[in-house]
Amino acid sequence: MWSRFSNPAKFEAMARVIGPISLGVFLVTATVGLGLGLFYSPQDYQQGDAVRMMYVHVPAAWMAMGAYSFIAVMSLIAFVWRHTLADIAARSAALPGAVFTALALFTGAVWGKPTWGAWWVWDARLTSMLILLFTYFGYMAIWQSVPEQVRAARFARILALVGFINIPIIKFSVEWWNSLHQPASILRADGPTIHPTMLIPLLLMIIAYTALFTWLVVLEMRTSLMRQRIEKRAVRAPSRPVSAGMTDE
Amino acid sequence: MEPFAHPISLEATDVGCDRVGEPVVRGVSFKLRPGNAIQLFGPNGSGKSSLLSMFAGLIEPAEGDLAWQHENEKSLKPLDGSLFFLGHETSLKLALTAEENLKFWADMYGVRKSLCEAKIRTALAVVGAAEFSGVRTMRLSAGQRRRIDLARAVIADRPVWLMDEPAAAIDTDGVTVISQMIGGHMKRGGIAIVATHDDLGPNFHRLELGR
Amino acid sequence: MTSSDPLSVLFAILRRDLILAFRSGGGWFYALFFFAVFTALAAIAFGPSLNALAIAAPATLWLAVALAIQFSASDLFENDLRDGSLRVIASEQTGLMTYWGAKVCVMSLTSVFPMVIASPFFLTMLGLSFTQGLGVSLILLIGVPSLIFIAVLTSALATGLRAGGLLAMVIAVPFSAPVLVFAVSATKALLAGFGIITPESLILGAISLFMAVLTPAFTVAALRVSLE
Repeated sequence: MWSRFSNPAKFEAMARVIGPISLGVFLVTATVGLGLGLFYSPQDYQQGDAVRMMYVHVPAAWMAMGAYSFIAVMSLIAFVWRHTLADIAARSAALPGAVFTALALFTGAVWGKPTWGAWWVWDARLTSMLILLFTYFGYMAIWQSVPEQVRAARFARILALVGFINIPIIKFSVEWWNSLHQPASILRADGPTIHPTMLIPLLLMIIAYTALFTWLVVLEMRTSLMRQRIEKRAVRAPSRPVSAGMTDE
Repeated sequence: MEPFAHPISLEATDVGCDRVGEPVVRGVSFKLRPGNAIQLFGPNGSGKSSLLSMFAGLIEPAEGDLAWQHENEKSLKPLDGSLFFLGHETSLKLALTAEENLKFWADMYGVRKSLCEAKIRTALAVVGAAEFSGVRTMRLSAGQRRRIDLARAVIADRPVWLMDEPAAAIDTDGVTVISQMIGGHMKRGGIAIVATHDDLGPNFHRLELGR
Repeated sequence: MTSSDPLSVLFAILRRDLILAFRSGGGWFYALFFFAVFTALAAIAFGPSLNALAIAAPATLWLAVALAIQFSASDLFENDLRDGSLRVIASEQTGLMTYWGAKVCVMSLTSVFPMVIASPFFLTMLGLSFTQGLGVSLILLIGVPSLIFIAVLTSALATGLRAGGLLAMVIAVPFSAPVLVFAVSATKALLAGFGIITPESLILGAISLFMAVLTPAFTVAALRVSLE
């Protein structure tokens, strides 16, 4: 199954399909989701219209984590099966992931102002989101500071994997450190607790963000592969023995 | 010096290696029996250092097979305690004296404590650096440092020598010392792969890399 | 054929690095000096009131320790990589895992141990009593290993790169944050009279153990990449 993803030519063919589709899905779901969320969903009885921030904030926070998980999985694949395409996929996800994380922080702050009365509150989830942003920065810094791409990829795999293992510890420690945020309310064993009129636009927005992420990653991967192909032309052929037949007989 | 108790041979079948993802060498085949040595030639960047790193087990072969044979055992990696590696840097600490540096490597190579001092003295005499024993290596010239580093070979006392430009920065007398050292090593049944442009004598198989 | 057992290799590296630390410009002294300067600067920044300082003392102490460890690890592998020793060590079977262990010991002895010893004295300058300070240095012993493991890992990832020290600092942040959370709260719990064994200090110890298990393999992998 991996061969389809590890072969650049096959990936290219697939990307030509996946790219436009995900862009289309993004445009449709984002339009409908935002329309429903901003105009046709009810106000919150406590938060009023401020609750509409949820439709841009929650999916961003979701994708911040999702993108990092994607990076970690790709790094693991690259680590175990040595697929360079997985390295490229991981790197391509870093910038969109960091932007989603920053967006989650920003929308969180804007949402926080009317809800908590302050732009920034050191609550558990905002804080772990901030540390996640630093994790992204570190990951991107590794790619930036190693000149040879293959070496950079190997360092980056290591960092992505340890960083991923570290995430639960961050979550746990930050929650211990401080918790006054509302508990997660979409995925619960006893079913969603928010009303369908709010849930549907929220789910649409999550799909929209995921599609946007997919489109961005595929786009960046194609660019990287193109650059790689151009650079490959400059690579010299490997050297070989000039005098053959090195035996002592 | 008496011959090695456990002679080792190395067979390479069509091996190639990569340097950070780019193929540098392909299609190298040879058979090194105890007492044989190979001299690696080739222009800069032809992959001599990468090949040596591969033989040392630091990078995996990108293709082909490497087989180390030790009596009846065969293995893909060099056997424990069989390998002496001399890189193109000198692996000496400048703040330590020649003797202290060699003492460290003697500990690394598992030389018995009681033999250590005598061995270091012999080694320094072999490379013609006896008078530098108590001198910090920062006070020595590049060629003198290279000699001290070569003394590691005598201390390690191992059957497989991998050497990357051992004659760099060294004078003609030093080149003679190196070829005598390797000659003695071959007589004892050791094997050696040496990347160098200097002429080390007629006993070497020559392996020239090129495009 | 001769080869060496891991323990004597570890001692050989340790001995060499200790001699080097003492011989080359007091390398063992930098971390302690940084720690002292940071504490003094913090006191100047917070103002001279000892009561105010006592409240800030746990955080100040741990920040000073974390930064000092990170700084002193920044060139841990640089020299061995540049002069080729690392390549020779890696080609030995006892290899890099032993080397990692030796480097952790070097770090502990040259930079961390002096800080742990000195911390009660600095804490009295921050408005704590000397006995409180002694208790805090025990908590340091519980939490500091994790900081060392993190610093060694990030230093290995940044070895041989330009601005490597700064890069190591950046990538260490997400790992150091949880340690700081529990280290500071364990210290606060101690100062509030709950003793040394508290949930916080136990979790801190658990993080240290976890890092001891998690980081060596990744550190060795990173060193191999820089040798390639």
